[in-house]
Amino acid sequence: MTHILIIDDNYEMLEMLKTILGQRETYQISLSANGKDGLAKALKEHPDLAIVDVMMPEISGYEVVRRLRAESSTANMGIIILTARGQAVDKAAALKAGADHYMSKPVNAQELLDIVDKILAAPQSQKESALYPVFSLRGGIGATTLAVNLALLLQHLNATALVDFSPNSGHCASYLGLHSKQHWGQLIQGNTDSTIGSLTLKHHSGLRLLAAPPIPIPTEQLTEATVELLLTVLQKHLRFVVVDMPPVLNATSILLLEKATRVILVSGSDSPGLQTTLRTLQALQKYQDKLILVLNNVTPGHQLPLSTVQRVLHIPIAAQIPYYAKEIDTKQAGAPAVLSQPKSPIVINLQQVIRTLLRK
Amino acid sequence: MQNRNQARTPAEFFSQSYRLSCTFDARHHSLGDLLYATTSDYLMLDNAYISPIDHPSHISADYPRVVIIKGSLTFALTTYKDDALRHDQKYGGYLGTQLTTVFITLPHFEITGELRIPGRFDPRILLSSQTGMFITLLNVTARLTSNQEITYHGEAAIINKNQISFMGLPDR
Repeated sequence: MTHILIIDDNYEMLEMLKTILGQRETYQISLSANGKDGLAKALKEHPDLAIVDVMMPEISGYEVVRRLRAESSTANMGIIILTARGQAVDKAAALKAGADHYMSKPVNAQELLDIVDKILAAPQSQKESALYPVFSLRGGIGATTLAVNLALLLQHLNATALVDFSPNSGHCASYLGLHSKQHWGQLIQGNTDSTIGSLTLKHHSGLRLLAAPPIPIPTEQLTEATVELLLTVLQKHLRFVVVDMPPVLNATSILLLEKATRVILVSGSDSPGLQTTLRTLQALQKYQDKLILVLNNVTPGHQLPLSTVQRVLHIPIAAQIPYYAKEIDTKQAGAPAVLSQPKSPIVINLQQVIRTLLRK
Repeated sequence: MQNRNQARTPAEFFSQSYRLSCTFDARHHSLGDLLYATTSDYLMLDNAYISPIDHPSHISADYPRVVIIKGSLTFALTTYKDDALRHDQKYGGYLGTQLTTVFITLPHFEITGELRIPGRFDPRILLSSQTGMFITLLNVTARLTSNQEITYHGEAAIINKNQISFMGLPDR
């Protein structure tokens, strides 16, 4: 059964919409008479679609939609805003709040059924889930730290997953203070099904973590088919997927680069680091348009000036993150900088990276 | 479950600073009948949602009932013209009259629409205080002066003549 929730403070309108949608025998209809109750019902019952009035006492329809989109469990549900406010400015506000569609009252029954069918039939992937791998061919330069903090910042905007694709017992779970009871290794071993609930751990921020197996496994066991399956499951439900990639260029890495919306390439700004990055850029020339370069200084002391680095690499640098001694404390405490030190240089610079990522 | 709307007709009301979306009982009287009536200086409306005029999609307050002082209203807008026309405008000698496109400036708004009036068009008579507080325009576009991207459309608008500063007219 397809579950549709109707939220409207007008009793006649609720009854009329229930009658119209009741024509489809496969629809299970729930009714709610105000925004507060409707929001609670949606978060509890996770309907496939909500039809939301705008003008309701206490919580407006726009606010209901914004809150539904902010919760990972309802972030990707279908939402129609239905309102007597029928001006262009109201339509723009409905779509900005996150509705899939806007309709003005009075309701045309056939038009409503057509729109409901269309939204329910649309694959979730059409909602443009973005994939952001964080990549470096040089280990030990803080790519995991950046991936974890980047994912937490994106979670503030919308439902996000962090994937730790390290085959050598990755560290994302411990950085987040989580124990990797669930991990993608279980899927390979056939010990779990491919649902988001059984695969991922939920951090208190709402971030979903697909952890790496705690015991290292041979790299070839993480096949392209497994990666494809995992990405499909995550992108169906979540707006952003951040991947902490292992520092190797193998078949699964290539697949991730192919599928990426943008790739965050992490480089050190010392000479060996720049040399590795220069070679990496040559190897990834095909993906040049997707690359966002972030310089991460993980050791104290003199660093090459940004202009010099820019001249060597011939690629714009989205952010340069200075060495930050307290960063080690955040790892040990399982409380990443975004949560424990929100004014730290890493967070401020990653916010700049996010602005670059989200720019069309 | 609250039952606030009672299948009432929606309309938009604009004052100097606010947009008010609400409903009125149109079973016996149109909005035109209610606004043009000289027996009352105010109007009782239901389910009011108030937005600042320069942020028209933000609902800053809502009330189950409101009173509108007719004299402070700038204009009212309806999606359908039958919700705004007076009884005599719908069924009387109003039919078959000429349409004149006019441009009107009001506080914070510029409005384009059609005047439908019987006989020869004379703005001095139309705007005279002897002919009531309001005029009705059809096929209306109202544009916010300070942000030309914010527009409102409706089949009819009822405009407070006392709030008009300029009226652009076609050639004689």
